Amino acid sequence: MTLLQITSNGHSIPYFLYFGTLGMFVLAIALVVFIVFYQRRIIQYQLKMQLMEEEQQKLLLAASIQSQEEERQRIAADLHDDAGPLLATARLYLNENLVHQEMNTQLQAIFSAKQIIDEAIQLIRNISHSLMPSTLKNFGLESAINDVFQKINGSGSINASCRFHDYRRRLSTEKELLLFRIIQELINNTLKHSHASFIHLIQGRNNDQFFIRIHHDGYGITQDTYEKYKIIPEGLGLKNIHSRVKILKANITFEKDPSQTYFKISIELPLEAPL
Amino acid sequence: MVTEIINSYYNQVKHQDWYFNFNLFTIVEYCLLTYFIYRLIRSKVLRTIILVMSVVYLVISIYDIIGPDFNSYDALSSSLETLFLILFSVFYLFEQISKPDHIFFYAIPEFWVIVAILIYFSGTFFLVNYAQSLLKNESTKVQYSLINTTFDLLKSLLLSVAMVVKGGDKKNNQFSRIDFGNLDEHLNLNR
Repeated sequence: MTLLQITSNGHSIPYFLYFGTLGMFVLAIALVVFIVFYQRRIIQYQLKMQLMEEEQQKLLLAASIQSQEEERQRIAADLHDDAGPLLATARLYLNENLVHQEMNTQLQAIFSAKQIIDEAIQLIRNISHSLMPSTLKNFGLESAINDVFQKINGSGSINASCRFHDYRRRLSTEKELLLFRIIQELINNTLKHSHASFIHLIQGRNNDQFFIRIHHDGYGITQDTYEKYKIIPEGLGLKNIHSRVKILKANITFEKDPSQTYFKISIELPLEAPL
Repeated sequence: MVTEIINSYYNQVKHQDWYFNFNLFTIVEYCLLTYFIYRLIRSKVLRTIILVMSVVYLVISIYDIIGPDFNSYDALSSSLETLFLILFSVFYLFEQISKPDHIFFYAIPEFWVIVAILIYFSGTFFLVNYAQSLLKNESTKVQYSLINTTFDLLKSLLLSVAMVVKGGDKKNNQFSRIDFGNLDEHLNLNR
């Protein structure tokens, strides 16, 4: 201990007291500096994450707006190109000169006009059904999906089947519509891009989870591709799926079967989660 | 002030030495500073730890102050106070790392008060441990006072910074708190 002491006027004060004090002081300063810089880095990281989240929200919003615009354009085109000419033709048949025509000609014109108006009604009904399928509204998701699969099967180009194992209790109308749109988009994508020979959908329940699984044997996407499309401007359909999945508080997974023979898409949603 | 009044009572009425006052001051200082840090900390676990440690500290210190050696320098109480306050300051800083709620951490007065506590008690940690032997002769007493006064000045300087920060630009202080609802505003400030 004597070696570690300095002498001042015959009295001593331990060296290590100085070193200890200095060491503690330096440590305290280093700690404060470290905390300030580290905290700043954390804040910057959090802000970056928030920015990314905001960016993704913007992309989803843009996708949603674009999809709405496309839908409006399609409705406008249907009304303008199909309903408009049909009603104009009907009007031509029923012009004011009709009263001066012969009885047979009048009857023929009225009959033709009636046929055209029926056609226009059917057309408007089709537009209305494409906006909100009446089967979905009146009979539920199971019937609406069955309807879609029957139509696909009817075309003969692909073998489509679906099976609902446990759908005694219907989901809420909003949830059914969102789920229907997701399935519709997934099936459209499969029909357009996968060149699959079969598409099969099953529904079931697992405790308090509702699930839908779609299998097909064509070209599909995996989870990585889906995640990638979520953050880039392309892939409007997948972004719409993502935003609907988010509203439903559900999970969607895209996988390739281990046997590499088919792709599987699973949607799982909690039954009790409110929208 | 309270400790001064009690001390004058002891000096004049009971004719006791200043050590009692010193020991009492240590307890009062510990209580006030711990209460200040306790109020800043949000984590329930850390708050419980502070409470438990404070109970231990108070039991030891009060026993010493009312025990037979009440009029001698109480190194244990002072060392515990120093150690615990350093720990509590680190708790606060640790919490600010794990759950930060200010962008400009150094723009809030609490930060500077905590830094003052941390630096003062870190600097005087060894001094407090050896105070009993250092205060025995005049030459080491001077050196003790020199080190203690240096850190005391530093502490006062940092507390002054805390006061300046508090009285400074209120707009900046207001925006230093993270409000993720107003993220754009934060980002504009950062640019």
